[in-house]
Amino acid sequence: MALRFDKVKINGTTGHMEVHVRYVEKNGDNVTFGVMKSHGISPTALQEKFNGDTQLWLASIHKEMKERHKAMKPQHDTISKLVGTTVEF
Amino acid sequence: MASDIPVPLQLTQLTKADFEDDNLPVVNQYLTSIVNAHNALAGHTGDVTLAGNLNLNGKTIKNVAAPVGPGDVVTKSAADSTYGAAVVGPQLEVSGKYSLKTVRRLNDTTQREKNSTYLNDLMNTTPTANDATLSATHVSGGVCVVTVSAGSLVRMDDSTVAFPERSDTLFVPTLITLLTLNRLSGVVTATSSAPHGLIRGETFSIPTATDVTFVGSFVVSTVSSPTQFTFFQAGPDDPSGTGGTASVGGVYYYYLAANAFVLSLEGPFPADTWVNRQSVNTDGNVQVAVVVLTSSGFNIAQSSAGGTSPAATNGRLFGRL
Repeated sequence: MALRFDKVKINGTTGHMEVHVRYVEKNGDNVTFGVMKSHGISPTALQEKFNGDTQLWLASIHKEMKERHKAMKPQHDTISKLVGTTVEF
Repeated sequence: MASDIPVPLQLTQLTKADFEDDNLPVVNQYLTSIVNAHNALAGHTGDVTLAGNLNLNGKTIKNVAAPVGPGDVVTKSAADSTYGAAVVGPQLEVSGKYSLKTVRRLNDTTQREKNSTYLNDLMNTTPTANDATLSATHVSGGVCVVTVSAGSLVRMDDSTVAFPERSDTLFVPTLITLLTLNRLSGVVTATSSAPHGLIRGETFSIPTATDVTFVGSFVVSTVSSPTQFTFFQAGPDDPSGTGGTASVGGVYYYYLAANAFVLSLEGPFPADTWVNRQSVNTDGNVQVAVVVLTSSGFNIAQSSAGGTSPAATNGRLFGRL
């Protein structure tokens, strides 16, 4: 279980930090990527909420992305299995 | 110059007596004058000067040398190389010597614009067509988390771009309580109940005031003391105005940059104004959502995205984004 950082941006004027991440689930040789999401935080908010500790912020992102991935994965798996099948409704 | 003009050659009627002298002085003098006049007209004695105009009756003068002096005749080759269209044309072109010259025939179906993708790069203002929704957490520890849902945006050329969800942890602006607001000769002096923390040149807004003429977005002109500052605002003198509140920042704009599929954020701005919106919507950026934070947190009445209709009480947003 990991987070993949597709992109990182820091606003040169406001210092607003931004990461584009997706959850990575590894199961043996199989690697499943979750849906991408952007997270941002202002320097003041980082100080106020995480006492300026970036790792705490990233940990909170990891927690959210993991829960999000767990919630969405069954739906994605269901859809993925439909390729080439015919379903009666 | 008059001396250069040859004296007219007079016709001399010769008589028999003129030939009786062995030296023929009269005849020779007459012949000499004729020869000299011929040589002068042929240019053997220098420049040929005429007493009258030269009328060639439509004929040309050939083998003329290139002009040197200001009064010289201009030949065709000299005129072409100096004043011709090929020489003068580029000097008249604003874009210089190598400008592309072309025309588009508006009624020609083969030359007609077949798509409007070029419009995507033009500056535009809201509303734009997107289906994102906004949500936010309650204020905790002075911050709240604003989330713009995943959605899709329809660009100007009717192409659709999907963008992922985005969450931002943002600092909630602190509200400054203003005890008094006094306007005199276009200068407003504000006195706060506690140190305001503003600095000269900082932009702030007054969202609420007892006298609503003070409501708006302003720039700090001077800081007189930790609890007093001034700013410019045109209006009638109001030396005994009561107080209100001041706020710094709090407005954020989410947008999609040209050719991007991930939302970007710009802010904080002191207020949601068309000037601020246009400052974001440049170079192909397309605004997707407006988020307004106040000291009490996310202001749903003044925030909006394409899938979130503005509240009925919101007079600052113009329809859906």
